[in-house]
Amino acid sequence: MSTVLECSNVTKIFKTGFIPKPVKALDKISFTIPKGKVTGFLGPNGSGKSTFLKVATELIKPSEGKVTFFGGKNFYSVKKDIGFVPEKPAYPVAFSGLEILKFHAAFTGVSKQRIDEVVDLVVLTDAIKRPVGTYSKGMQQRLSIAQALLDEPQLLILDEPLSGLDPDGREILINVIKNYSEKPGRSVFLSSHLLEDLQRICNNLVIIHEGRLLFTGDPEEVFNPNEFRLTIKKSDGIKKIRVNKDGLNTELKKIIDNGDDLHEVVPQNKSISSLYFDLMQNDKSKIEQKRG
Amino acid sequence: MSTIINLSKFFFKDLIHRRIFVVAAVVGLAFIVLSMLLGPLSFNEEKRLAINFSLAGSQISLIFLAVLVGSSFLKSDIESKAIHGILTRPLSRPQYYVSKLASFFMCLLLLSFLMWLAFLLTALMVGFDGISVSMLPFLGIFIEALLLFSFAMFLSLFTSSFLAIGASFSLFLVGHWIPTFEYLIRNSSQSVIKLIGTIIVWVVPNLESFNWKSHLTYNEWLPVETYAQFSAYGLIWVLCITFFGIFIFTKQDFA
Repeated sequence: MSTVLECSNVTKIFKTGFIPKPVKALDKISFTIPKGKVTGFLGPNGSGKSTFLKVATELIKPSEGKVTFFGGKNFYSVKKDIGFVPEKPAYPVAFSGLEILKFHAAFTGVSKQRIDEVVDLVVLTDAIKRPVGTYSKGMQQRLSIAQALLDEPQLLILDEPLSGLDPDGREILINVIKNYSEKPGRSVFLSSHLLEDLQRICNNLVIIHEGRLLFTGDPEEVFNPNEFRLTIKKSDGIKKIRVNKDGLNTELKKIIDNGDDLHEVVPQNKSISSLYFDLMQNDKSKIEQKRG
Repeated sequence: MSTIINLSKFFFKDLIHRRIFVVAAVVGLAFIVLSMLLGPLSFNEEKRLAINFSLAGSQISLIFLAVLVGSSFLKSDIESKAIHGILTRPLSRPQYYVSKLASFFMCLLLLSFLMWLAFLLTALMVGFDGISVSMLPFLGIFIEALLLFSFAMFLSLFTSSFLAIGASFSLFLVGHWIPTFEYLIRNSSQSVIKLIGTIIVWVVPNLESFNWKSHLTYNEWLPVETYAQFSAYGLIWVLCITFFGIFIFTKQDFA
């Protein structure tokens, strides 16, 4: 399968403070984003998602490694084929939405008809001639998506587009992203905290924690509907194990025979949130073990 | 080139929507109008006082505009992260930086022209006869303001707006003292003073080169080539500062 984004060993170290203290925001991250998929980019606050997206869009330079697009090209040479929606879109408040879109359209000679199309798409027709200063956060976010869609890009990169929006605003954006991704060859790379929304639109995942890659791939592949997760309280602490449906009775009998307490039996249903929380918990345990 | 024109037009519109542009225009025009009222206060120097005062007013408002806008024009885009949405479009960082300068160039040109028109009106009313060459002092003020703007914008890349404003006004003061430093170098017996003076003369643009206000007031003119040389000197400074600004801007991280 061809890829739209490839990153290898991307590391970013920030130096902050009067006496510069290095802080590793990204630690040798390598993954690819397949063409034609909606890839969710997950991780807790401060895990390095926005930093990675800024490295990918050349707003910041990596300390090591590189990010390439469409088979080895750098971001600068393919800017026209990539639409980017920043975390907090900011526009001069005196301009109308239409003026902003016309300004962005002029870079690539986008037609007036296309501007009208994207305005309709993001449901901003009634407000497009109003100054951006009068827009709500959701409307600014939609304007930003309209701007990113102007050139009909092959890849849409969105940094937390759904956070802070009301349910209606989220629904509009999710539909825009879904409609866009349904066209052949279009790919989306979307960072978000909203696991339920990601569950609805993503068919590929990248999960990072503390700047390290925890998971990449199709979440469907790691879910086993016949698997259960058991949480057992033993004398030496809490233990989590995974068992198959066939072995469940045997395992439960063993727990009773050993005199352990059974805390929880969770069927491994296909949810991004269960994968996310499992990965986070495992990673946190590993970090704690390392720290002794 | 079309990218720079598109960006410059957008930034120009952004600039003239800002309150500071209106304030600078009103203050400059108010100085010029007030100069007519001040003239009669003097004894036998009515014209000279009116001309001097209106030129000084224009200079003050344009210099303030240049320094205040220069220290925040690019900085505000970086701090508000508006720069993220633009730099990810099909354009390069040097194009973005040059467009910022070009948009202020247009804004300054517009304001200088308006002030010159108001000045002409005042000059006609007080019966001043040097109208045909009255544009020259405004050209000097224009070059000086452009230089200070490029310096303030350059500094704002790596310092706070407050420091950029302070340093730019310091440059304005020191730049106007360059003839004094040259005098010190020639006449001081102390080598330390000579050395400091020489360094300042080399690293600070001589802003007195663009002070042509008194030429108009006293009707004492230099050869045309001298004005051309001074203008070129100012523009070379603007180009050098812009070059260093672009160099830093292209290497910066916008986190």
